Amino acid sequence: MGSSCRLIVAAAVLVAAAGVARADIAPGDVCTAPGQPCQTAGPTFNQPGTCVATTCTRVVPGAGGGAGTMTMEYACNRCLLQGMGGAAGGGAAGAGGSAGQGGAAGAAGAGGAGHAGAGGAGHAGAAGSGAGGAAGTSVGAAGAGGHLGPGGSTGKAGAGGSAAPRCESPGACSLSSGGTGAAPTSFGVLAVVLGISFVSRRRRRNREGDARARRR
Amino acid sequence: MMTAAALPIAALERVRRAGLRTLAPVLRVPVVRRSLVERASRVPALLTAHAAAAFAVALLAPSLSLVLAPLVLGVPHVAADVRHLVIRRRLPRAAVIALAVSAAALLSLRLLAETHAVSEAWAIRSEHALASVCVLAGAFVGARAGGWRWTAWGALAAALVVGVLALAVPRELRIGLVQGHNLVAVAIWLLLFRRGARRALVPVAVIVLGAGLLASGALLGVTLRHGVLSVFGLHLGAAADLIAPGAGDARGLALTTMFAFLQAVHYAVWLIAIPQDDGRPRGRPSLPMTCRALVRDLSPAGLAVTVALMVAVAASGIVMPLRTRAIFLSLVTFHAWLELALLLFFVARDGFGRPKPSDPQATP
Repeated sequence: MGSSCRLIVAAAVLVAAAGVARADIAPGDVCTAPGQPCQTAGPTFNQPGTCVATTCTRVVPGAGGGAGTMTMEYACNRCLLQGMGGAAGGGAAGAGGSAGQGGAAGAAGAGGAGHAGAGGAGHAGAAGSGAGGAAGTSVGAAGAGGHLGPGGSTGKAGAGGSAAPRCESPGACSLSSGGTGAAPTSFGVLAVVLGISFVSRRRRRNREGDARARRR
Repeated sequence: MMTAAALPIAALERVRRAGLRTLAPVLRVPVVRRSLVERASRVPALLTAHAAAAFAVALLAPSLSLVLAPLVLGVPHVAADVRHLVIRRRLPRAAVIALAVSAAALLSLRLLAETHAVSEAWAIRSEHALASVCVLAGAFVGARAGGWRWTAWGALAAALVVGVLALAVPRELRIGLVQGHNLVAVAIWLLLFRRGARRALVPVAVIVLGAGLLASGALLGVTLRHGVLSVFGLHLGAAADLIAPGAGDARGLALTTMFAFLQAVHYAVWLIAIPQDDGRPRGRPSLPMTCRALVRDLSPAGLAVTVALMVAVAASGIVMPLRTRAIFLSLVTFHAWLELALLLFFVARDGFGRPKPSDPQATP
């Protein structure tokens, strides 16, 4: 088998693979620049959106080093669909305060202006009046967290209002699949391979011609 | 006459010599002396020391390593790539042109994606298609030049596997490339540049052990309890979202600490181990000698561009570290593909060992 044939066979395998290539490329709805456009929004992580800074959580081994776990919160960025309203903020109403004036039950977060999100991940205020997150405006702006009530002692501001779809842990993100968009890539690969093969054959012919000329 | 550029070099050299004089009693110990003078010992010793330091930083401040290392060492590392894999190997002109065009095309695709001129999905599909052809062509051209021996067939098979995965499962391959790229540097050093196989086992064992310990999650509790999790606004969790998506909450963090360790190791390989092993076999090159060799290899203009890019990336990193890091790492993705293509090219052409023809005149 000639060298060019080997390359063509190898490239053909690549092109065949391209035919079944999947379109799931973006790593979930993660993005890197808050406020900037991003293209990994939507349930299948392939729609244009805006990168929004929010709060994510991970369940990690507990501080004692035993079998227990704890939730770790951290600042992260998520690509949210454009025009999607903020989701319900605030989560559950705050429990009444146990001391002092006693917190009034927190109002439920108002719905977003656009699609209702799948629920903000806001933690309810543990005490005090956890005011719900304000309605999201246009691009899933984070709702205002619940305020600590006057009687509350350990109330935690609810990080409500982040719009759905939201992937708390990348591990929970499902991957999309499909076969879109592979054809142009395949043709591109094929064109390059044919080009290389053509040039290679031409050079070989030239070399053979030179060799014949030298022999003469 | 001493030029403006030579002044700081001469000053640094004086500092280096003063340091060596201070350490003279230690350097007189035969074991220490041998390990610092003989390159076969010196390079593994230096790499082991750097790996140990990288392990400590990855364990206690992984985000620091993740942010700072690319901003400070990223540009010199790419320059070292070009220097030791292309320039010093005196590749045929056609190969150099093909590499330059491929690198420019891959860089352009990332630029288009970063400026949102094209969709990220389209950019990655195109990038993977082009990169697959580069990797395949590297193995094929190497095999053709070196004869179709078993290493050539192995390199071609590896290129095919990478190409098929890049096109069939681009997302997974992308994550694999991010993680595996650090190991490619170690593989390039081990397979193509290292001298003294037995001594190289020490740093390799330290690297494998360190990576295994961090990836297993056995030390994650130490990081979470005693480490600094957020540096320059990058939390370890946010880094794990990008570096180890889909790996689970705790395992993702563990894999990210491993990545921080291996990334630092790969910079040490490119900036310490490979330059020293690609140089002369004995003695320690002085700073002026190293600088002269750099100018000879990269040309004054190339060195000026490298220094300018280094300063630009570092300066931008001071203002907006995370954005600069993200853009820089996105734009230099091309070098990961070219490293892979050239590794397969050299293995296919020369087997395992120093890539030929190495220019003996170019050694520092």
